[in-house]
Amino acid sequence: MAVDGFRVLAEYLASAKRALKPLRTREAEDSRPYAVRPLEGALVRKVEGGAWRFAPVAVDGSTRKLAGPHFSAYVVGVAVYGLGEKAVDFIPGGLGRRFLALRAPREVLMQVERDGRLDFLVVKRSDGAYLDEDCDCTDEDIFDEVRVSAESEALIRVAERGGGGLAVVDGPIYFDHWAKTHLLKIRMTAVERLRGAGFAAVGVVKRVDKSQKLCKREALDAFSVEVDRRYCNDAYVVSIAAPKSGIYLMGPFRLTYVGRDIRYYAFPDKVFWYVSVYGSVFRVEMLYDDFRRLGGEAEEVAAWLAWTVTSRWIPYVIDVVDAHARRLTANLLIALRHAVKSRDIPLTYDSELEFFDALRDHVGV
Amino acid sequence: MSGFELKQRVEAIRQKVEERGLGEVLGRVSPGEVASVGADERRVVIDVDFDTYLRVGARIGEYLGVATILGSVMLGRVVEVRRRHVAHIAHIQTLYATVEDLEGLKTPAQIVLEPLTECPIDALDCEPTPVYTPVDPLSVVFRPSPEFIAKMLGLPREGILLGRLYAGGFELSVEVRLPERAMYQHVLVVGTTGAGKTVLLKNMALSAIYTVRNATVLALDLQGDYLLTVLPPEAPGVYQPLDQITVLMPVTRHLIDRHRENIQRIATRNLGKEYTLLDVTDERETAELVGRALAELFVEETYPGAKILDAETKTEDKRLVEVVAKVDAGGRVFTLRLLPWAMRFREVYPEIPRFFPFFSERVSMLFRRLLEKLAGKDLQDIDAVMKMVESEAAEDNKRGSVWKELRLHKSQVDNFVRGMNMIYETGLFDVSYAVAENKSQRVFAAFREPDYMELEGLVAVDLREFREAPSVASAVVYRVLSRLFEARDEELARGAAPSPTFIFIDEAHYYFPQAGAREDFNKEVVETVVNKLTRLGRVRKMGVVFATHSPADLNDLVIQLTNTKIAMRSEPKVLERVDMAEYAGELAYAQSGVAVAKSFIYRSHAVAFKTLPPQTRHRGV
Repeated sequence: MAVDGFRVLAEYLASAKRALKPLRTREAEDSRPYAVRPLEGALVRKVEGGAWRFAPVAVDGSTRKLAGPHFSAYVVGVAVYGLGEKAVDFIPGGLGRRFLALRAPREVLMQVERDGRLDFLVVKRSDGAYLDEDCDCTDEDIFDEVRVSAESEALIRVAERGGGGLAVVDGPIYFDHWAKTHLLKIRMTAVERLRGAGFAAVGVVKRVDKSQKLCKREALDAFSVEVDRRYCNDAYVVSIAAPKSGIYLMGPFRLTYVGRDIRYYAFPDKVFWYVSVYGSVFRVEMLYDDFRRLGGEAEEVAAWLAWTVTSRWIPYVIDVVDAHARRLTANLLIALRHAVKSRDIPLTYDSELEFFDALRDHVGV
Repeated sequence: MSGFELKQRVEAIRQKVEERGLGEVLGRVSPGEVASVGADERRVVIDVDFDTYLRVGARIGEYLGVATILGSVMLGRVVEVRRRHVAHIAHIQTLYATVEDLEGLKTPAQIVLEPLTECPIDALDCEPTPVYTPVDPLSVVFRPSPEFIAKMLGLPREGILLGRLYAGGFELSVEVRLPERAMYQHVLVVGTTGAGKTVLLKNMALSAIYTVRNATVLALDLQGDYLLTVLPPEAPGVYQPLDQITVLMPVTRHLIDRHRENIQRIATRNLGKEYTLLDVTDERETAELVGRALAELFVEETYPGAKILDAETKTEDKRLVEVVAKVDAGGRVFTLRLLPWAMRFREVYPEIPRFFPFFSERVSMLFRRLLEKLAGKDLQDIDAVMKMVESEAAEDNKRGSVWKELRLHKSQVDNFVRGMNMIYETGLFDVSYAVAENKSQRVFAAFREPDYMELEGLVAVDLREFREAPSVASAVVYRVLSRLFEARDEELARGAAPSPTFIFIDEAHYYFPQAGAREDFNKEVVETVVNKLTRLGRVRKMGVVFATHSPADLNDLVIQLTNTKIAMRSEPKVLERVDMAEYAGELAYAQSGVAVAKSFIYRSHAVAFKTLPPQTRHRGV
């Protein structure tokens, strides 16, 4: 009934007369101090292939934005692969309902908040503040509000199914951003539920050009590479350390947040590997506790994810959920745009570009 | 209409489907595809979730129902089933690993349905129409009950039982019948050896006896199949075996010669110890004794181990008419009415060119005159006639010969003489059993043709004697069919309603070959018989069921004049010959007993069915 809901929403948006001021852009990555050290046996290992060993559950969220002068709609879709009766489950869908954050003038937000037909909307941050014209936030913050909640909801559904195994998440297992401790708490609650149900959570991080975990002295020494650490990122280190041809696993490394603040205890230790597939790089990470629990199997998980890489240079299960999540948000955005356009509500040029991008994903090209 | 109201409406439709017992709900019309109902294309795609798909499967050819949002309920046939792995849906290709991801199989099955007929969901007693109303995505899809399928296909409720509806590789509990009126427009059954033609024909014959009042079923029985319809099958069937069978047994001179000693032995035994057949001087009594002996020999050969409990023999004009015997075959007691069949040359010679297809057209026209000129007053029996023919043939150049007088070309003389020799060799004329060697003491048991008016129930023409002699078999068949036609014609002429007569002709190409297929066959004779039976038979309530494994060898007229075609397992070229090439996919590798009936009588034009198991004893079982 999303189409119905979009029609109702568009009626409210048509009444918004006040233009929203632009949001600030996202701050630089707020990485906490951490230490990275190679674990015993850490090296560059060639992945030779092997059998199709694992049948993990995989979770990924996709985001798209549709905006005009008087509103911004942040559409989030989450796909879960391998959960149960169907190959792929979704939010919105069988796993959950709230998928759209709305930034608009306060009076509009208050109106839609009261409308029972719009129960899929998020109009406030998790700290209770409205996403109105005065919102002290970035686009990413708003997306994170919906995305982290939806993904965590999905992870809890995985935990509820039980049975144990692997739960592969597209992205890091948790954010290391101080300002979003509340989101970290939501995510870590879900991860703990997963672990309680016998699952090991595994993160696959595709965007690593801003990450500098391998730029630590201990990591560079492990690979015996010399890099000017002022101009360093993980992709660069991997490109130097791994041969150009073939699939390579680099790790494991243990990451520990260091500091005296008690809040550091919220960030449990992680173990990660970098994967180089003919020069294309992604990171596989898991909690240190899961790494210990899985023993030698942990690295096999990373190797298997590397071996199943697809034509888009990402592991198979991540590609499956990513493709489904993107198609889902594409469909939602197309439907939302149709509802908004039918009320003659103006859109930004970027939103029109986003619409064409959604059309491409919709038809699968 | 709000989304909520729409949801309520669809839910109400789903409830109606379940409450009215239309069938089990399986899924929805796919929202991701165009559901098209138009003049050029009728195609509805259905999504069935993986668990339902695993549980109930999906099969090409099966029937599904659709209850639409506009309030129609439709029946459709599955024409395609699509299965896709999630990797295909997401356009994913692994670079190195071979995908063995079983989770990816849990995608909905997509079933493509061709809508056939529809009715309003609130008026299910309607006469189904072709599909005129649109099918909306998310319409409710269900697996229909047998009653719903029968109703929506408009299957006839009465008529000859062909079998049970066959869809998606399964037999459904829906009877497929061919109405009596369609039988009079004639039926052609094609199928390769072992496809189940004979079982179908025998079951149809049985059904005709049980369902059509006063029906006479005449079966041309080259292999002895119909003779077993009085015996029970391995497992009980829908129909009981017949309690009575009439067997029309051509008695040839060869048959008499072969069984001479046996006839004498049996007749003597039946007379008691004190007398032999030689002691009997009365021709009527001789005919009765020989008739009884023939009946015993027939039972011995046809129903091994069976015995005759008692028998009554009927003669007329000192000639054997019939033997009616109570037969016990392993506890199964039935009545056998045996009609020994032979012809007297003197009585039938003018008609011979009409049922012996050996003579050219010119010779056929002159045949009667030729014979009468040749034999004159001596036209008593075939032996005398043959002497005259041979004598005349030996002097064919003599001035004043019959050939010269009638201005016959040498090839026509040859045709006539050759034809007469063939007729003679058949041994079908002037057949009798002579008891004594001494001519002065000879007593004859003679045979005749039956009264075709008195044939009733199942009548098997026992042609086993002619398995290797198609020409003779054809001559017998043409004669019997012509006489039967004349009997029905007479009924019609008298103003009486003709009794329904169904003629079952297995291996029809044997009797009705394609023009030119056999060099000695006059196609005019063949086609005259076919024309008479089919075109003129209709109003005389005569229906013919032809069957063949080789329609290429079958006369074109049979194919043209049969309005119902039933195809069983066949090669595509065979199906093409009977204009059923579109069913090659279903029939090329079909199981035995599976058939498609194509007839004007069916709303859907064609119906697939599976024959019932043999309803009586069957040779192949």
